Amino acid sequence: MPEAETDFAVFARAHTPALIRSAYLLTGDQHHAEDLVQSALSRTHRHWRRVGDPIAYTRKAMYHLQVSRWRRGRVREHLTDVIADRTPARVPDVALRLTVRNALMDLSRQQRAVIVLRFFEDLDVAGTAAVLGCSPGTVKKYTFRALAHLREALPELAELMEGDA
Amino acid sequence: MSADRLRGILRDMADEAHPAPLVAGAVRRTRRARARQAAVAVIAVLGVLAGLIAVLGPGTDARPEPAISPSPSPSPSASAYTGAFYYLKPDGSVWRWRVAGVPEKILDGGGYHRATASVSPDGKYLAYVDDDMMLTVVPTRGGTPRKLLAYSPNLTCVEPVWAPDSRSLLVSPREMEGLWLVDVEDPGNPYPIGYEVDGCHPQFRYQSGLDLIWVTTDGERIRGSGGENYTAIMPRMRVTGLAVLIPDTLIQFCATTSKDPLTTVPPRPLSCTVMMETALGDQIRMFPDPPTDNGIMDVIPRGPKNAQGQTCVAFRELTQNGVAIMCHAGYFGNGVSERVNEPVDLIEADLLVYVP
Repeated sequence: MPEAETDFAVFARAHTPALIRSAYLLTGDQHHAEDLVQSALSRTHRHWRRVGDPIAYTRKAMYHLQVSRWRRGRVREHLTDVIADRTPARVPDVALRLTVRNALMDLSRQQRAVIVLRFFEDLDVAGTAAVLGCSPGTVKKYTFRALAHLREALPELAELMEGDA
Repeated sequence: MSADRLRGILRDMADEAHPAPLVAGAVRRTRRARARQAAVAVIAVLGVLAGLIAVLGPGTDARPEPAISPSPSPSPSASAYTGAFYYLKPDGSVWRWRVAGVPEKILDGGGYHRATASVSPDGKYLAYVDDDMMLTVVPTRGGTPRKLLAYSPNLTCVEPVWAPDSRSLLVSPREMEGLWLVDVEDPGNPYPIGYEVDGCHPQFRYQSGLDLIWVTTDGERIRGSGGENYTAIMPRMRVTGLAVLIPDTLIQFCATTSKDPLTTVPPRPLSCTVMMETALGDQIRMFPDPPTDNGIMDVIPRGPKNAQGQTCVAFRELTQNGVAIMCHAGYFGNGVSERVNEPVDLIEADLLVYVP
């Protein structure tokens, strides 16, 4: 196997689990998450020799693919009230999990991407804007609206304000 | 504290995801894409060689052409797709492709703002936000771009939405709160729709109270099930006439939450019977239902027909041989009735619209 292929394989194996976790939050579905990550990894693989920071490139590709996929119509989202069989045993509260999932999936893809980047990836406004390719003001706008929706769905987040991230 | 709680909730949800071996699949995708690119290159070279041979003519030892009548060429009319598909490539360039032809570029790529490109329903105009942050319209056949108004898109997916008559654009720029209609011929007087929109403005919120009925193909509404048209009744809602059919058959629309605020909704400058056309040319009509005063939304298929005379709903699907445009019968049909293979160099492009 060529050295570049080996390097890519090592990189992909190391980062796939973390990417799938983020993709799962973005898509709400294991299979869609795997498809999203595989698409992003394929793009990184195609440009492997020119990519300076592979993880940053892959992550950016993944978020861009997810935000733009609604136009392609290739991926259909299905909300379900059924918890997947693979749900780990440490689930503390099924009702809360369903509420969170529905609230998150009810956000627009842009809002969801902003929430995942800021509260799961722990990026600041500037970092989130850099990944999504938009202005910091846009990130703040999406964060504000997404948090307003989440607060409505999850009263325990009532104190959460846009500036808390 | 609340931020930490949200982080904890997201981490718990992410724990549901399971690692999967994706490396081999990603590499296979890359190889498929490269193989297609190589095939395109080979075909292009062969095409150039064939052209050269045709230009230079036969050699001295060439025998005269047999006197036979030319055989018919593959007929593009064999496909239901006799119009043009418009694509947006990742570099921001916009391309047009007809089933019997080769893709042609109609707009160069630029900054990400050009990803806002949107083709008018009649296929005559292309609207996009240029690098000067101006909403711009240019004829698809070529011509001088016209700058309509300042437009700061929120994200790359915030493209303008054309009205079905191709004369107005629905916009939601940051400079102007809410939704506005911009007359292409009179861009200086945009008309306020009055709705604040989250995210991409085609993603209007679906409100509760949805009921479904089916209608006949000629557009006459009947109650009950059957037929291929799609109609949504929104009890206790006043339709304001904004609708988009998203390609994955998800229909979302914008309506008031009750009839009470009706008096505050100003009259619209466009006809309320035909509000939007889908990517395949289907019309979405919205109008009130006098007996009940509920809002009515109809989708009237006008797109290409399959061999059975049913209207096709096209979407793209990745197959072993590349990307295919599938023609499904009916919005919720299952059978694949036609497939046309796209040129391989459009695989990475987004299908913007099909103009019959």
